[in-house]
Amino acid sequence: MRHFILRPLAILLAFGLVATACGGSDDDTSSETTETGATGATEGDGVAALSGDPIILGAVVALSGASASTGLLARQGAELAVEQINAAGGVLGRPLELAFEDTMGSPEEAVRALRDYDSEGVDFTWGYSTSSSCLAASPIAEELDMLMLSVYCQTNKMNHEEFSENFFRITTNAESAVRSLARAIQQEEPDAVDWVSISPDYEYGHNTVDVFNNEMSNEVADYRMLATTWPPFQSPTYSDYITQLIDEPAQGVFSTLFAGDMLNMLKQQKPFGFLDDKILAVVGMDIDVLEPMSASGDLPELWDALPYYAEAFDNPENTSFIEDYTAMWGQTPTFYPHSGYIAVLTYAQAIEAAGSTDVDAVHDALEGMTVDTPMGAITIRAEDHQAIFENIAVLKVVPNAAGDNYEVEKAVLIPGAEVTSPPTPGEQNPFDAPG
Amino acid sequence: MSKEQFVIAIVNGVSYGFLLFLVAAGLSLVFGVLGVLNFAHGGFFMIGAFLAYQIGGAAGLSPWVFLLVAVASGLGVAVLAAVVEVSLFRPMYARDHLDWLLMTFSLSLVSQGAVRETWGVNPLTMSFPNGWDGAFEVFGAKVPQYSVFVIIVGLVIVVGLALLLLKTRWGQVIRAVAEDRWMAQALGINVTVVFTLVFAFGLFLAGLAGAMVAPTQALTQTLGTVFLIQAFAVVIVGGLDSIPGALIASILLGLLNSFLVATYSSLAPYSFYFGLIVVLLIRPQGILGSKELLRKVS
Repeated sequence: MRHFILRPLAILLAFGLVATACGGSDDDTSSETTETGATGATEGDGVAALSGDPIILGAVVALSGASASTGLLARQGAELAVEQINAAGGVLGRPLELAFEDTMGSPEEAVRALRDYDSEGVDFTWGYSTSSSCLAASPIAEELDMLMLSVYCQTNKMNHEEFSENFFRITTNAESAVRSLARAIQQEEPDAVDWVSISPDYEYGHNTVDVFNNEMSNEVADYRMLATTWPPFQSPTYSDYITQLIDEPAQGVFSTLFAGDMLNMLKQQKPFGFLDDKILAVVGMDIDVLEPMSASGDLPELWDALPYYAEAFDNPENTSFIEDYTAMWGQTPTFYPHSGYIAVLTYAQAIEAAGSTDVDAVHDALEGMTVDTPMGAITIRAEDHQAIFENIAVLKVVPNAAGDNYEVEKAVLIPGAEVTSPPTPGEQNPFDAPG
Repeated sequence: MSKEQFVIAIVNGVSYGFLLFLVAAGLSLVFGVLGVLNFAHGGFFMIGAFLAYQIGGAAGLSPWVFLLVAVASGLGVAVLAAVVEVSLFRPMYARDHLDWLLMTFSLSLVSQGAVRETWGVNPLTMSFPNGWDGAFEVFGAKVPQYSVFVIIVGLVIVVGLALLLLKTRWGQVIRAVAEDRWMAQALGINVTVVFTLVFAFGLFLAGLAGAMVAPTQALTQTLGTVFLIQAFAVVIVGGLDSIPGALIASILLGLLNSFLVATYSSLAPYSFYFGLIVVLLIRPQGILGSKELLRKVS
């Protein structure tokens, strides 16, 4: 009898395990909820002066699994912002507090996180690391009357076909990220007209290649995309895919492979010399991850459209952000800490402007609001809730002279308004058309 | 498909097949002797890769030093495995499959956590061995030198394993225990010690495989996942308890994957599952698996 029950259970569980593993997020089967108050030793003075219940901002980020670093770094930036705001008197005289739900990078967990927050009375959420988690969570946010502030996910659909009243985005969308990259290349590498692409075989990969094709065809008369190849998510071997492109007479390689996948490709292309005489153009690669790669001497030159890079922006907000963050964490802030930082700033400013924590009032305050961030002013468009950046940084990253680390040779700033189509919520982004 | 593409597909497929074989051989050996489907195998494999980084560093090493580093990583993992076998596995042998599944899966989570705590969350990378980071020209096709390196090491290990299992007294003992552990015990073989040694040796192979993979991959805490799933496909296709079966299956599946990328690339991600389905339908015990295996696992 015991076997009769246990065996099917074992098989079921085994299937579950394999399915989770295939999703690339098998790090932890139970999700953790960590709540932190305004952190750090310095909070005492500020919090003591504050009264009333804390206002809780709920993070929906990956704290474990393959993309754990994204959430852990964002948390550091968010904690800095909370400490500063509480020290300066809080929001509406109340202290800010952070709560965390671990999504392990999976959309199902993002939805679960939203429901958990709902049951705890948390209305203001931020994070959302992947496009699939934004797409999955936004109908739930509408249903539960909660707000989502995305600092990562890029799919154009969220401010076009799948526009949701409860969703706001303070990072670049795929269109503005890819077009700013293409603009920088048009300016700096005008001879690169023939391209190939090695991008991931899921929606984001195909979409970014379409945007790149559309932007380049619009602006460069002789532009050609000679060949494309589509490795699956977390492919361990790229040699076969590189072989597909190796004989094409291209001057540039466009790739939106993600994090570890990108590093695998960069390593495995080396024996082929695939990138030796080509420009590599990538989107949203946190250059932190290049450091170990540079240490092994395998780093090729590349162009990277990364919304925030500490040295690219010269303004008082950025200077003090770098100083304070370095003092608190002993590291230079990168894209992810910056994301967590500006998520808290944005909510704090919106709640203050709304004069209450009423969801509708904060929603209305966010629409059209301008936030001064370390990367300059960002304005959230009222029509489609997409932030328009004063400037988007596109970096030229090269191995340093010693060959043991990377350096940023150049940062080209592209005005966000020039590379973002007018708002058309509910309709397809014109750059999404197959290009 | 051009002649160059054909050549490179064969080399890529075979070299990836050998890498998978190194992972799968340990899995198969441990199942064959201990009767344990070890879901933590990928975790030990990953630790092997990180140990190689720890011992060898990021910069390129001479090929011989790199091989020493790989063997040392394998030994490190083997010691860890022996400790695990003695402390955690021994009390478990009488337990049900489900308990084993839970135990080994939780071990794989522990290994990921340990790697995260030890080496941090940012991916690490390691260079190819010096002089093996370029490409050979074969019939006009560029063949990565490191792929050839992997094939050579793989062949040495295949031969070594065959000699160990077929020609030595140790091999006889291992085969006797795999065949019938009760009878082996009755004949005076210390099965408890054999279990520890076989588990340590199987995981030595996993650690070695991790080190061999290290120059081609970003080292992250999920490194073991994809390889483990594919290694499971390999041992099922080859026959769960057959090491020669695992060798044939790894190379066949590696080739199938390479040729699908070159021809119908959108089907390539499913190549391992195609192989699995076809074999399970036609020959459920796997290419070289024994009929008895079916009784064992059912």
